Amino acid sequence: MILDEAVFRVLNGLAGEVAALDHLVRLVSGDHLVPLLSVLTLVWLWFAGSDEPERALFQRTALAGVAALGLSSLAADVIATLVGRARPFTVLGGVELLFYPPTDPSFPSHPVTVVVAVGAAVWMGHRGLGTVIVWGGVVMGIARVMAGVFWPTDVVAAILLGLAIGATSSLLLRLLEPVPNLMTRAFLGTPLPTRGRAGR
Amino acid sequence: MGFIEARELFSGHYLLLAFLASLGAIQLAAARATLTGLWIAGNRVAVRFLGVALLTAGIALYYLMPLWIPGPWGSVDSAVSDRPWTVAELEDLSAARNVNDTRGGLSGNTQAILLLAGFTLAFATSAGAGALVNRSRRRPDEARHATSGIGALRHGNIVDASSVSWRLLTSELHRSDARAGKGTSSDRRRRP
Repeated sequence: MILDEAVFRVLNGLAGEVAALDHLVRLVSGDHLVPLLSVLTLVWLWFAGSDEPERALFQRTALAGVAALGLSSLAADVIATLVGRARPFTVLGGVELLFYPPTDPSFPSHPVTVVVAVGAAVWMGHRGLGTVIVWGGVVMGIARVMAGVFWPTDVVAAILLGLAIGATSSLLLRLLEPVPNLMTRAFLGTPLPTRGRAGR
Repeated sequence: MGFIEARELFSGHYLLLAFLASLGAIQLAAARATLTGLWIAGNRVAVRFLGVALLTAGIALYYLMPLWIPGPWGSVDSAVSDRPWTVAELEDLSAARNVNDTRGGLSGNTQAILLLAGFTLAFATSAGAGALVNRSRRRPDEARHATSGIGALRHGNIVDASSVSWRLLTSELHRSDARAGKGTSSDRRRRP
């Protein structure tokens, strides 16, 4: 807890110092930009496969990403309700807020959990895009600590939870077969292979 | 201006963002995969350019609109309940869209619904424009019938692709039903 507060103080201490950094933090920590870009990656994956095996792999990855999004959101909500941790700006004095003061519990960081889970699911099928999304989630988490609305451990827990859910979502899809396959085919999808090709 | 008006304003803007950005992402993917049935322009370079332009324009427009449209922008001081709606100043622009969902901003669920709606509109636009733009493109019949799913959009429009995919899917389902029925009856015959 002491280390958590110390790291929070260091990161939040950067807020209000440099105007350009504050603008960047406000943009990256926002509810819309990073989550939207991660979902757009799933849209891109659905259509972007250039041949049948790649298309099947990409569409399975997109489906795993959607499953990861839903599961991670649910898991983060349940844990937040159970733990009920207070936000740093309600506990500590002298916090510089660069973001609106959220009213829901702090642990784990909900948006970071979701973005990292989508990134991890994408990583299973497309290494490059998956890595970019996961890092996007990490940067968003750091920005939210700087903005004064999350503890560092909220973000660390969210990253671990997101990685775990993202990595297991494609496994979950296999367990649910043939439902995902039929759903995919019904929406102009390509027949899914039982084993995906290694990611790129 | 109250909560409902703020929510309506945000929803409209977010739907526009979701539509333009999804359209851009679909065009970029369609250019890569040569899905001419979704192209909103006649050649790959133009489609790729439009994809980048739509994606960038969608995001830029969303974040710049507070400069000329009055709203409850930025809410670090959200304890103030009845702030008058104003346009955002340039130096406050990065915070303009950060509004809590308890004060008229968008919750995660609302964002998901609007994203789905934006994507559906973008796909319909791509498919409609693709059918118009590529109506003169000659398609080899055997190629149209050999591919199902999204891949069929390389050779035809959305109507061709959907009908081929559904036909293949339903015939496969019938075949698997027949196989299952046959297996059951032979199992029955084997039983004493």
